[in-house]
Amino acid sequence: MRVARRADIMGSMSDQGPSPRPPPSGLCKQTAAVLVALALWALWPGASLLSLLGSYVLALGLCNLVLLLAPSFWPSFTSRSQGVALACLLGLAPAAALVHKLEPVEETERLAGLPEHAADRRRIDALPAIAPAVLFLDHPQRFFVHAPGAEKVEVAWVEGKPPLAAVALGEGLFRLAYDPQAGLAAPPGPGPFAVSLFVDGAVHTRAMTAILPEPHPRWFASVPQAGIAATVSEETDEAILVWRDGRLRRVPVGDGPSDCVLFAGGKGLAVCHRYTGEIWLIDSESGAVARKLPTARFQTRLAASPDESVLAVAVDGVERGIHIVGLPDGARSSFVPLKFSPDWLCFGRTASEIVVTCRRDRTIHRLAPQTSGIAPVEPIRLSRPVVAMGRAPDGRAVLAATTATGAAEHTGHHLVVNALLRIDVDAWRIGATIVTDKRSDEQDMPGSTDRGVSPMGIAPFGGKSFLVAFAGTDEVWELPFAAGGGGPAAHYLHASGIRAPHGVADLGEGWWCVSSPSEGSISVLEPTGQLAKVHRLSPERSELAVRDPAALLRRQGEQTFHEATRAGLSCQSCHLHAGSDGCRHNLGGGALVATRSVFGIAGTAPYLHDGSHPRLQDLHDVAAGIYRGYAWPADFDRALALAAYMEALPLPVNPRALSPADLARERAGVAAFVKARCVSCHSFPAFTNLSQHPNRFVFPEILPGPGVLDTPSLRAVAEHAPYLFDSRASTLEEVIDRWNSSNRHGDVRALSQDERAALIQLLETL
Amino acid sequence: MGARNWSFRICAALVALAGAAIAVAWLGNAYPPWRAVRVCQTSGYASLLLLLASLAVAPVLKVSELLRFPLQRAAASAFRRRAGISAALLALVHAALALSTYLRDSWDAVLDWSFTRAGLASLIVLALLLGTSFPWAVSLLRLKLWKELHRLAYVAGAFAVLHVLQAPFAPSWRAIAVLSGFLALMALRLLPRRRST
Repeated sequence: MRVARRADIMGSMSDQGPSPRPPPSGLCKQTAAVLVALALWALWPGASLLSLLGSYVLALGLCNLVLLLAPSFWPSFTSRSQGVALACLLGLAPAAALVHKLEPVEETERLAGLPEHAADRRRIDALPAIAPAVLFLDHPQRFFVHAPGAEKVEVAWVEGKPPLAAVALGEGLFRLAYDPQAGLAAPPGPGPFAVSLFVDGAVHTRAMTAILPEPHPRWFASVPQAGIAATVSEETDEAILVWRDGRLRRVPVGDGPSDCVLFAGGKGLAVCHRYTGEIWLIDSESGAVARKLPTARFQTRLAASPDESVLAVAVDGVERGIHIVGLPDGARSSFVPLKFSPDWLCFGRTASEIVVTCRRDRTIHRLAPQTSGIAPVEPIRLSRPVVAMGRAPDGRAVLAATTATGAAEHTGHHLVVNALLRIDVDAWRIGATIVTDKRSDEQDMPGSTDRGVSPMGIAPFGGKSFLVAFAGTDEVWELPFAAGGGGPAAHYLHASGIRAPHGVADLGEGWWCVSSPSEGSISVLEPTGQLAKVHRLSPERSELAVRDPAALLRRQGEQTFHEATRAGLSCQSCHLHAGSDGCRHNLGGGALVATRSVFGIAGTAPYLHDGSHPRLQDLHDVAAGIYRGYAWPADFDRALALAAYMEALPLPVNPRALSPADLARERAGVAAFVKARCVSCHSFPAFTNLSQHPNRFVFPEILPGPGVLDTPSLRAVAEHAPYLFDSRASTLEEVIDRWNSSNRHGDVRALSQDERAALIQLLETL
Repeated sequence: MGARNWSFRICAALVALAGAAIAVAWLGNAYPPWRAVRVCQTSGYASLLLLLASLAVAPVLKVSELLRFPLQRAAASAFRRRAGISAALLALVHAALALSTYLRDSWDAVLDWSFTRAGLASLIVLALLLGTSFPWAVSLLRLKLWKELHRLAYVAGAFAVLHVLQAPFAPSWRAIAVLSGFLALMALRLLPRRRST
């Protein structure tokens, strides 16, 4: 009897055995409690499981009170059906409220992204594990394999082909360098495939995805007098020449062509490369490679001097600077080192005057001639970085596209003002600011913008004006050079099927062309703006839908990434070319956080600094919600497309990773990484364990406010300076020393000076 | 020795083992942040395993009946009760450790963070069940409705599993094992009860 009477903590009803049901004497107590709980929860302002539980406990308390103080108030019925009918009646409204709250609960409790998050975690801790799980078939990249206790690891992309040996770095970590151009066995094509990991002879297969990017023609160089324009497709290693008369030539070039210029009246084409350390000089008519001028790897932009005597090549590798290379034979070459990463580049009036922009510190520099070479003058500082730049034919002015007016320090707001800055090169000042955001009659909400968003490409046109391509609103404007020279003439490209235009070029006699990297097309337009010819380098949508639906989704995602919201900004506005604008923004809570690059974020869920978005597709809520959605409807799911595009953005290639490695030093770095317990959160092989931690647990001294921080991957961390959640650390040394006084962001105090140096060296090469 | 004594000894031994593991986690980690994580993990998993063991009793009894190999009901019930009480006590220890180490400066995060919110929900249920697991407590509180409350044991389990799945350092295999175990128990509860002839 004692046992039977005792209150039982676990499932008292489960072992009672069958017993005769008592006659229905009253409304079932449990049903009553549930009904009251649902009613209470319906009245509760928030939607969380904790509040549902609280409602149930409160309801039980209320029922207890009624049974204790006024049992006669407890409803009783002569039949069971009466009770059931009343329960159903009373339960209708709360049940409806419950259904209404299910979606908010799913969001609040992070249930939506749980399977994806679990899958990502499983991928990195199912040993042996390889990361990242995406293989790009177009450029060199590095993978890490985590196989604790193993002595030898080999990786085979294709079953039956000779495996590639990974380099042991100690602590169970192995590094695999892979370059598709090296003639090694690669998966037969894009899509999912099984990679074989040979760990001390035992074979393990892991799921990966191979991606073969489509052609992406971007910015042009042109010689209007010859009716020719040229561009490159870095993804497909080709230069593309297009003529006013409708001809098009695709020329295979070196690995990762990043920019090109035309010279000798359009008869010569110079192409610089990101991965091949050469400038190729090509005969435009025949497509033959005339000469290869050795320079350095990681060339980013190219410009020809007005007299075509030299080429200037911006280099953003281990050494940053500008290579000056004589034309046509590469003689008189010199190197101008820079303390910043060069981005856009053009000559001023003469061959000894160069204008160069830096995205990271949001500056425009003019390098002026000096007897000892080229020395910089005071740069023009902007509030936000330059997105694109074009040079007037006489070199007296350049037009720079940006997303803010003025030079005030960015204060963390999200106010994007799409603008063009006319810079007077001689006076070295901003001569005029042209705000391009406009609203058409189609928008009826105050502040809604659907014109002039995301200026992306600029080119001189007809000797009197600039052409400006707007990727956010699918249009091209013609703007006069001179201030006050009249308003812009706009060409709307959306109806022509040209999406997210980037490059624009003068083809002479009023003709012009525009590129769409996402569509993989170059369109030639007549002086009237009529579409004369579309050169498709990639398959059309209908063909892609059949051949490779994943590629189509990525294409649509790329367009969505650039598409303007009604608030006048797009993903591109802050994540410049999928990288970072170098600014810090208030994402809520008052804390300023640095814009992250979205390269290489596949498999690192959840997203944002606080891990508040469990899936990539959830980031679309930002555009659809606070930025008021898009001006035009789409015939695809923008959220899924955006996620597909971002998942296919590769990690940036680290210049140091392509340099010969000091293996002993690298191993010392890995040992220090483990000794300082960095590996606890930035776990092998993805250098993140996809977790979040309270601010004060990691940074008690510098982040006293509430909230949690997501653990970012350290892959390519050196490319993402400045560091930490709010960019307070300008160097990696500052991360581990200056901003870790509590020693909770890694046990750095356990490291010697040499171990710290090795750790930093390792981080720089990841 | 009676069945209830056996169950008491088993549960006491498991709790002692958990205590020893927590002590080892504390003493074996000199780096404070990692020590905090380890003691939280150890106490949390110990509590969860005892909770799952307790929840497993009813399904195991059902399966044993279906297999015509019935277990002693009284012994099973005693074990279930004591395992449940042990799980609740360890959950309280886990919460105390977490609030004094990992969340020492971040108590506000408990309600803001879905991971800790799920843990808190599980803790609340277990504390309620613990409070109503003693006849003197039920009498003192003059509760009429407490058996219904005890049906929340599986809800506590579900919250605990969610807590593990979202935990910062949860290795996926462990979280998946916990989830699988819980789902298996839920599935076994759906088995029909064997009719007595």
